[in-house]
Amino acid sequence: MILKKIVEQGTIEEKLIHSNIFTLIYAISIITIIMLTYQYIAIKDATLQEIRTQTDIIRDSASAAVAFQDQKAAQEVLLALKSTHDILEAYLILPNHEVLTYYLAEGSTEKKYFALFDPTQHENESISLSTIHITRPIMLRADVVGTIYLVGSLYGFYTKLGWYIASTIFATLMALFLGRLLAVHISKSITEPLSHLISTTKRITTDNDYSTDLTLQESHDEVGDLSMAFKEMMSQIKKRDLSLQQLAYYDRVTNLPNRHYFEERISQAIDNAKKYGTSCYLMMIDLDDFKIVNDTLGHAMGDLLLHRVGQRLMHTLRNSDATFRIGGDEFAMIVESIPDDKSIQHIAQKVINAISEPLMLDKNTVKVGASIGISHYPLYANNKKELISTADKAMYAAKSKGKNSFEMYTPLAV
Amino acid sequence: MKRLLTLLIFLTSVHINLLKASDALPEYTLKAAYLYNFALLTDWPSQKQDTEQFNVCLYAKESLGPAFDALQNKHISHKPIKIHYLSATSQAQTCHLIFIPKIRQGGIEKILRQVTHLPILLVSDDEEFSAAHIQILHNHDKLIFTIDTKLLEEIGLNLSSRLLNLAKEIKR
Repeated sequence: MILKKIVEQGTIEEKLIHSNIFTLIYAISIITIIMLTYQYIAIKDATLQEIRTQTDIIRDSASAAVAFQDQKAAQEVLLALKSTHDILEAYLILPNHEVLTYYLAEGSTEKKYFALFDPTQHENESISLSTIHITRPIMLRADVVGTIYLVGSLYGFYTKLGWYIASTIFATLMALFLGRLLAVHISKSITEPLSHLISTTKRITTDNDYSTDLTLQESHDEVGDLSMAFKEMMSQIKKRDLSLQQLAYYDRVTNLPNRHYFEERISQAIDNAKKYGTSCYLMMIDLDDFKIVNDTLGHAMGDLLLHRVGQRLMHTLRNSDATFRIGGDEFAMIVESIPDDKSIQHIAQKVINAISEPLMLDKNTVKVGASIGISHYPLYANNKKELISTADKAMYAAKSKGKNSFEMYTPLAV
Repeated sequence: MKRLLTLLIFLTSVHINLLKASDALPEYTLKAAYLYNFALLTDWPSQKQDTEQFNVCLYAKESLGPAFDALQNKHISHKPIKIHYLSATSQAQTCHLIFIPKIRQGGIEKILRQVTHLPILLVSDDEEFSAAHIQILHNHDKLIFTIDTKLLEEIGLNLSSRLLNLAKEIKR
């Protein structure tokens, strides 16, 4: 019942503490029972043996006195019993059943136990709850010259046993107390890495940040293994996150950031410009004659062309993050921290030059061009949407003007 | 166990008989028991242990006999007790113990000359007899005894300390 409760309820730490204490109690109980039983037997034996030895000593010392029926000498021998507390009464009895002399413990005035003496028995021993009755023949060399009848008290035995039980209980309680302290300490040291792992996991879940660096405590047990496995799992998730990000934000044909990324970056660029009072340009680039290439050489060649164009665009701008493929043959560039229109026009020209350079696509020389529309935040647009639409308008204006040209957006130009 | 008990009862009854020998002088019956106890509590030297019997010699007439009859059934150092009656001219060297009663016949000097320096225990109930190693005396209605350790030492006899403890007087 208790075992079930221990196993089913509470945290692992509590379970560990409880199971440790339970084991401790179990072990101590067994030891205590064995020790108490052993002590009971040993102390009882020792007490009885002591009384028997007393009897034998008295018997031997009194033998000559009994043989000569010297009452005074016999009395002197019995007086030696005064120094012991275990002897209640002692009688030296002559062969004719006459009592030569007797001894009563201090404070006692009546022969309480003499009625229990059986004169027909020369050698006898009986133990009651509180006394031991010993009858022994008194020998002089090989002759029986009388009988000693001695009554010993077991009070000493009970006192010793009581002390032993008390000290055992005290020792048991001490052991349990220290054992509990130790159990708590051990359990903590086992569960602490686990708690740490749990709190780390919780933090990662609530923050939704799988790139968190794990600082896990080193331990060489199952918890250590779990931590390592968790760490490994986290790095796998991190990797998968990266590849998902790659899929979500990058175009597979050109390896350039896609429209999705473009939308985020343009918002960010506008936010930065707003925040720091700077500005940014947006260039919309549309390939001329791409449809012809696609139709005559096939989609594979079309894709290859887009890839090559992407590479050229990337080389034109130092910042690779700023060039995007946003549609079939449409590209875009975000250019920040440029002082004036002249610089952006210079870049636009460089882009046109780069793209209009003839390309070798599987033994076919292909030539495409580019029409570029440029807008500016905050000059021509108040927000992202306006910035894109004005740049688009400028791009269409450039296209209608003729291929391989760029156009700055101006409210007048449209 | 049963045999041991039988033996014990037998031995006890012997002792009772010793102390209560009815048809003898009660005084001498008690003295006979004393002699037996003295013999028991004496460490006999090896020269006295080579004999087949334990010789208790009485320097008295055989009329004293019945009091000592019970002794005949007993043993000292595994040897049966043999009672001898000495006269003034008897040989006494083989005795272990010589009892010289107050009521005696003739002079003891000749016997004494024989046993001087021999480990033979001399017991007497005659307070005038100073050569005795142990003297049994009357004190009111009780028997007491004195021991002369000086004389015992000279002949090389040792008495048990238990016996010495019981002596009323020890002459050194």
